[in-house]
Parts: sequence; C-alpha cells; structure tokens
Amino acid sequence: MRLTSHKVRMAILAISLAFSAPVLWGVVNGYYVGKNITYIVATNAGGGYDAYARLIGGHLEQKLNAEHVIIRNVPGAGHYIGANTLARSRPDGLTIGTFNAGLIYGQLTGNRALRFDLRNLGWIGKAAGEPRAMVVSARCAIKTIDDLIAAEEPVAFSGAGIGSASYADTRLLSVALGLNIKIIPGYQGTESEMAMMRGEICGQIGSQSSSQGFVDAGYGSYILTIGGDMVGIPNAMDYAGDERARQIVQLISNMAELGRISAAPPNTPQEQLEALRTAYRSALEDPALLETASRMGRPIEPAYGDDVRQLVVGALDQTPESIQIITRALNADAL
Amino acid sequence: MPFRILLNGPVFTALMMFVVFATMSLIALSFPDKARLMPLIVGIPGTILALVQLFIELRSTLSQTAENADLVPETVEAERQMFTWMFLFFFGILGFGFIYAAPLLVFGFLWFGKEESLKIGLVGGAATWGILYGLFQRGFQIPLFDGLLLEWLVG
Amino acid sequence: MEISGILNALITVVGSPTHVLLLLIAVPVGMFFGAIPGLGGKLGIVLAIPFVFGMDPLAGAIFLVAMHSVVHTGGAIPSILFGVPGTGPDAATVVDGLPMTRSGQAGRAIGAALGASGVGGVIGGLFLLAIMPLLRPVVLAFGPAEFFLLALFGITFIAMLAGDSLIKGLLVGLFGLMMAFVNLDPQTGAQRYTFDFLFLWDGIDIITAVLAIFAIPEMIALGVAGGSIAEVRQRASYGLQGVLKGIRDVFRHWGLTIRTSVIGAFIGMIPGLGGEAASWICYGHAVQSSKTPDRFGKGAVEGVIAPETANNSKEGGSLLPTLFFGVPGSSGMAILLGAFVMLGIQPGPSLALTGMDIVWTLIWALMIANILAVLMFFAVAPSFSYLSYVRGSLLIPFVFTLTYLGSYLSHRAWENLVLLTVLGTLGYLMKRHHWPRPPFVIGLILGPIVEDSFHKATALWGPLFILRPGAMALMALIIISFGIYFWRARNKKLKKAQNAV
Repeated sequence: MRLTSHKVRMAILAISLAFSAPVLWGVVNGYYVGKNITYIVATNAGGGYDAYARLIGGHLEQKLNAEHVIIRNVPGAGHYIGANTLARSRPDGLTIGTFNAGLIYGQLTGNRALRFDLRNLGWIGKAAGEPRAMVVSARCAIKTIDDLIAAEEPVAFSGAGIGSASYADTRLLSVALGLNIKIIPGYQGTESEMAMMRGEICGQIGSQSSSQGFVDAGYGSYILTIGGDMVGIPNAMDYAGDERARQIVQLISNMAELGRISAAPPNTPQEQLEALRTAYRSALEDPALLETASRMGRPIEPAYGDDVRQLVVGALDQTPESIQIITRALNADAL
Repeated sequence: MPFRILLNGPVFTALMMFVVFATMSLIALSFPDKARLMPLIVGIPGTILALVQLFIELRSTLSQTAENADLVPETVEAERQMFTWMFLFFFGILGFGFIYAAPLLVFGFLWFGKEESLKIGLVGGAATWGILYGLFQRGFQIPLFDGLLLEWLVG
Repeated sequence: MEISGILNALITVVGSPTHVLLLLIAVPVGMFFGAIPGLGGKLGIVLAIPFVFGMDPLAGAIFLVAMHSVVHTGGAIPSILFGVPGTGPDAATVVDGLPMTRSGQAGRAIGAALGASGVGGVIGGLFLLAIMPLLRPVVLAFGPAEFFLLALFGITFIAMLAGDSLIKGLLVGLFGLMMAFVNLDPQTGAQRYTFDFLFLWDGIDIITAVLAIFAIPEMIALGVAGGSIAEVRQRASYGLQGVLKGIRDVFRHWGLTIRTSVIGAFIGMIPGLGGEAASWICYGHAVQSSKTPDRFGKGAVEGVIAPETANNSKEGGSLLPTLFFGVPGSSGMAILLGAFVMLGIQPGPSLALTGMDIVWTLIWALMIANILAVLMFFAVAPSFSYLSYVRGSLLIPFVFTLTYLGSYLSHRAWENLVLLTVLGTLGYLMKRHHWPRPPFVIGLILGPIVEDSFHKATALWGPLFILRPGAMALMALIIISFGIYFWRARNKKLKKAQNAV
C-alpha cells in the first residue's frame, strides 16, 4: 500500500489548510449555518458507500457549520435510483449524493435507466479509488495471467448480474486481453468467493480491497491488477495488445479510480459548489477523519472538484467502436 | 343463470388467477431464452391449474342454489368501509408523507370512522406524530417519505 | 485451548460489569428493532455503530452480536398479536400465532415464541461449538446443484401447507414463484415484468409482500368483523399463566424444538440459502412431522415454536461463515462483518488460529442474550397479550401506519406503498375466499434461489448436474418427503371412509 510518511502528510495538510483557511472562513460565515444537508446514498444502509458517506458527512457538518448532514438511503436498481434521485433534487447546495461510478457504462450504452447526463452533475470529489484485481482460486490450475492467456479450454469465471458495472468490467477485460473465459453470471458479492473455495469457479475480477481477505487466507491469489498497482502483480495495461485494448483497459482503470464519488445536482450554483468542494477537501484532509477511516479499514485516496469532473468526462469520451464493444459487453452473454 | 351471480367472489378470484398466469406466460415468450425458462415452467402449469380451479368454482356455483352466505349485506358494507379507509391511508401517505398524513389519518379513523371519543382520537394522532417525527425522523435520523404532492409543491 | 478457553470466554462476558450492562441494553434494543416492521436488525446495527465505535472492540462486538441475535424474538410479538410480521422471517409465526391470539391464547403464543426463541438461540450457539471442526467441508459441500434441490424441497412444502384445497395451494405457490421472476434478470439482463419501473429491478420487496399478504388482510378483516383480535372473552386468571404455559409447551415438544433449532442453525450456516427460508422450512417440517397436521393454520402451538426456534438458531449458524470465512451468512451478517472490521476484529480463517477467544466470547454473548431476552420480556409479556383484547378500532389505524411505514423503511421506495396496497387487496381476497397464503411467501422467497442456482448449475455442469451426489441425496429426500405426505393423506382418506361407514 502506498503510504506517505506521517510528516509529509502533515506538511500537505498544513499547506492546504493555509490555502483554504480564507475560503473556509467565508464558508463558515455563510450559507449553511442552521441548515440541513441531505447526503443521498444509492445503497442501503451498511455498505461501503454508506460507510463513506456517514464518515464524510459527519465532518462536512463541522466544516460547513451546517445544522446537520442527514444520510438518506435511496437504494435500488444498481445505484440508478439513487443517482436519478440526486439528479432530480433541488440544486440549492443542500443536497449531495454518492453512487457507483459504474453508471458511466450506463451512459455510454444509452441505458434508459439513467435519467440524466453524468457530465452535468456538480462534481465535488471522490474519497477513494477502487482498483480492480483478478483473483484466481487456489484450487484452479491457472496460476498466472500467462496461464490464463494460454488456456485452451474456457476457464470458468464468476460475474455479477448481467448489466451491472462489475459484470461489464469482467467482460470488457476478457475482450481486451483476449482471455478464454466463460463467465457464469449471477454471483453477488461474496457468493463468488464461496464458489472459488468450492472449486467450481476458477477466478473473478473484482475490487482489490474486497478480495484481500480471501487472498490473505490463502484461498486464492492475485494474478493481475487493473487501475492500481500492487507489488509483484502484473498490470493489465502491460498485456493490452493493441490500441483498442489499451483504450478499454484505460477506461476500466479510470472507472476504478473514480471509486467513492460525491456530487451535487446539475445547476448547483457555483458558490455553493465551491463551498462544498472546499469543505469536502478539508474533511478528507482532517487527521481525525483519516484516523477513523484507517481504523475502519476504509482507504482514503482523494481527488477533488474539477479533477474528478475531468475523469468522468474523459471516461465518457469514447469512440463509437469502443461504445459498441462496451454495449455488447453489457448485454446478453454471447460467450 | 344470470351472469352476475356466476361472477361471484370465488369465481372472480379464480378468473383473476387465470388471467394473471396466462398474461405473464404470454409476456414471458418475449424474453430471451434463459430468462423465459423458469417463468414458463411455472406459468404454463399455473395457467392450466387456474383454468381447472375456475371450472371447479363455476361448477360449484352452478350446482348451488342462491345460498351465497358470502354476500351478507352488512359484511359487504363493512368491507367497503374498511377498503375506503385503507385507500385513504394509502393516498394520504402517498400524497403527503408520513409525518403529516399518518397522524391525521389515525385521528380521522378513530374519531370519525369508528366513532371513538375525541380524546382518544387526539391522543392517537398525537402519539403517531410523536413516534414518527420524534423517534424516526429525529431520533434515528431516518428521513421519512414526504409525500409526492408535498414534494412537488415544495420542489 | 478447548474447555478452559471456553469457560474463560464465559467469564469474560458475565464477569465484566461493562459487558453485562451492554448486554442488558442490547437486548431490549434488538427486540425493539425486530418488533417494528421494516426496521430490522440491519438498521439497528447501522444505527448502533456510531455508539459502539469508540468502545473497546470486544465490548462493541458483544453489544452488536447480542443486539442482532434477539431481533427475531422481538419480531414475534407483532406477528402473534396483530398478524404483522416484525421481520421477514417472522411471517411464518403469523400463520399459527395469530389464530392463537384470536382464540384468546395470545399469552401462550407469546410465551411459546419467547421460549422457542431463547432455546433456539442457545441451541444455535451450541451448534456452532459442535460443528466448528466440520465447518469447511459442510459449507463447501453446498453448491448451485444442491441449492437448487434444497429450494425445490422447500417448494414442495407448498403442497403440504396447502390446507384443504391442494389446487388452490399450488396455485398460490406458483403465483408466488411468478412474482419472484419480476426483476432485472441477472442471468440475461432482460427486464421481466418491470414495465420500466426501476424499483422492480431488484425484485418484489419481501417485506412489502409479507406485510401485504398477512398484515393488511388481517386488519381489514378485523375492521369488518368488529370487536377485538381475540374472539373470546377475557379470562381473569390469564396473562402470566398463559405465558408460562407457552414456555412449557416449548419443552413439551422438545423433539420438535431441538430438530428445528438444528435445521435453522444449519440453514443459517450455509451462506446463500437465506434466513427467510429457514423459518418456513422449519414450519413445514413441523406440519409434516405432526400426527395431526390439520391443526396447523388454526392455532397449533408447534406452528409458533418451529419458526421461532429457527429464526434465532439461524443467527448462530450464520455467525460461523461470517467469522471464519469472512463470508457473511446473511445480509445482516454482512453489516456485522463490516462492524467487526471497523472494531478491529478481522474475520477470516486467521481468526481460527489467533482469535478463538473472541469467537467463544461472541458465542456466549449470543446465547446469554437469548436467555436474557426471555427473562426480560417474561415480565412484560402478559401486558402485551392484553393488547389482543383491546378494541380492534383502536389498533387498526396504528397497525396500518406501521405497515405502510415498514414497507417504506424496507427499501425507501414510495412505489412499494402502491405494491403494498395492491397486494394487500389481493391478500384480502385470498383470505376471504379461503385461498391459503403461506405458499405465496414460500414461492416468493425460494423462487430466486431456484432459478439462480438452476442456471448456474447448468452453466457449470450441464443438465446432468442432477446426478451429483449431493443433489441425488436431496432428490431422495424430496421423494421420501412427498411419499410420507401422500401416504398420510391416503390414510386420512381411508380413516374418513371407515368412520363414515
């Protein structure tokens, strides 16, 4: 894990505080005093997005001097309902929300479930990335990515529900790297790990952090990373043979970087958006938050404001050919 | 036999079952292969069974004289009343949300609907508000539904 | 480590005043969350996490486990008194619990539920201890093929719970199954019966369905009939005696109690079956194993004991994969898992090597919490049972509110309120014209498992997955179970014919 030293962190913190102090002062004296902020979470209570929102929301409350940050869970339809609700909310700076960046795939393929344009949101920032990794079961004959590429028989991989972002990741990667894998859909969350332990599934492509426990326990091993670096594990980009493959891997990596995003509805006034961005940054640099997050096992690798917006816009900027590949990857199992 | 008597409660329910199964099975035909498998495996036998049940109900109605104990007028009237209240609750909460609609509806049901004393009605309404607002919205910090109408009006 | 370690853990729990205090707080809180429909243990854990976070990790974990393990004990109360299931799995308790209330035996039903929950929880904990060495092979023996047949087995119970009319029962069960297919199919990404409604993508919400099918019809019927839920007059020497009788019933039916506790713990142990199924499967088992199955649905106390033991024992069972694999045994466990990590406890196989003391402690916490629940609630149970004599008109508006609230809280979707009303009307029609309702819930719960495991099994092994040993064993079980059912039914018919002569 890339940990900067405590001193460097402190220095960065001091400098940022120095720069943001004047802005903070303006904010503290302003708009949010005595008001409630609603933080929409596109999942049910208890999951990762919810945890981040509650953690950050508590600090936002202080930074903005708001009355209260209320967490509003709006689950369903793979984050679409929550995201749509956010986009529909009043753009008065009093509502923000968090959801899975995988909805970018939805916009790329013209999914009717997405009722707005992701580019139009008032992007606040992201709290952490969610780098992907390929994990194979200890019971599988495949031990390295090269084995997988050389495999003659289709190798059984687990996939989430067809149409979901994580299924798309799996399909896209297999297309990009020319992997001979047979995806068995319908594996939610940890069902996949159980299946790998049973030996019926050889591998999965999922978030790096959620597979850590599985790997540490000796049930499996990492053989490839996408969008994040791990010591000794090859990166997918190294195996991308042509421009098309590189584009796809880059897309997956970008999506992986956009882990825990937060945004405000479209047309949120610039002044409020700035205040939110400043407070968000201040919250994510607050040593108290960092300490709590680390105790909770929640990494914080932030990016802010326009940086996040660039990532989103960049991810949405795909050639028609790529869009076709993505569309096919998101629909029925052609394998 | 007059059609209306044929279409009594049990017959109607069986007919509804048949319609639902048949419709869902037909719709299932438009799904891709894997998606339509189970719905058809369940839907087709369901349609057949529903048809069987429909015949059974029709037969039992035909072979009966008009002793439909079900259609006691008082029961029908009471049912109508209860359903009215349920729909009032439904539309009330749907339109105005829990915090506003529920206490009013509780009060209304108690005092107006069931003719309890005013005191009981007021206490009931107040208790409902107290629990919904005090415990859930404030205490647990769970924002309760505000109602579609209210949301539209307030934006 | 063994015995001394286990005893040490017990002392850790009861020896520390902080821990005891935490238990005393956790139990009523957990029961409260279980009693309010739609709140449930998951939300309780999420709300408790901020409080618990600053605590000593072990104390925090004890609190959370204790709170979570008595949720279904609390959930039994509204199920029995009003026919409003406090949690999804408590719906099975309604089927016989409510008729008991109607016949004036609310106290007995509550006592039985309490006792069953307590015993179930304890046996669940003991089960954990016993099966720990066998955990891996057992859990890993259940793959898609076995899940498919297990779910199918559960579905055959539909026939047995059909009551008087087999056809009606089957139809309702099939209808429940059809409703389970309303979703965005994970196997193909196709929208099925969703008509562009996003809230249906994840399927029909179980809590909403259960409240609609059970709670709403009961309230409407109560309003129509007038009077109180209990249809008999109150007897003076009631209350406490009834509760005691109920508790004694649990021990009277000790065979059933133990069996359903073990079955429940077992089901809880296998991640992927789902705790919802446990209570219904055990209810079905009670019907099937009874010499007088006709009493069920009309107020048979076994119909309360069986699901309630299963509800609590499954919590113990599901703690196993959660702690030892880091794989949550249920969605509630998933949150508990997150909480453990936050507290600094690292679930996973390493726990077996270095953290067994924590495991023993948590198991004790679970068992003691269950016992505490019985003791703490025992005192107030009689007063609760008096609610069944209260005028229906006083209860109905509150229960309506609670039902709509519960449905909303479950998924925060106002569309579910529409579903609640529509299905509620349907449920009333079913009640009115004597269509059995439990099969609907069984179909709805088991449908997704049947379909999902079928497709996975065929994808992995082709249609011949049936020939796998586990699958064949379960197939044999299904055939035997059907055989017993038909044999009994035939005997009954013969007896009837004999008596008529």
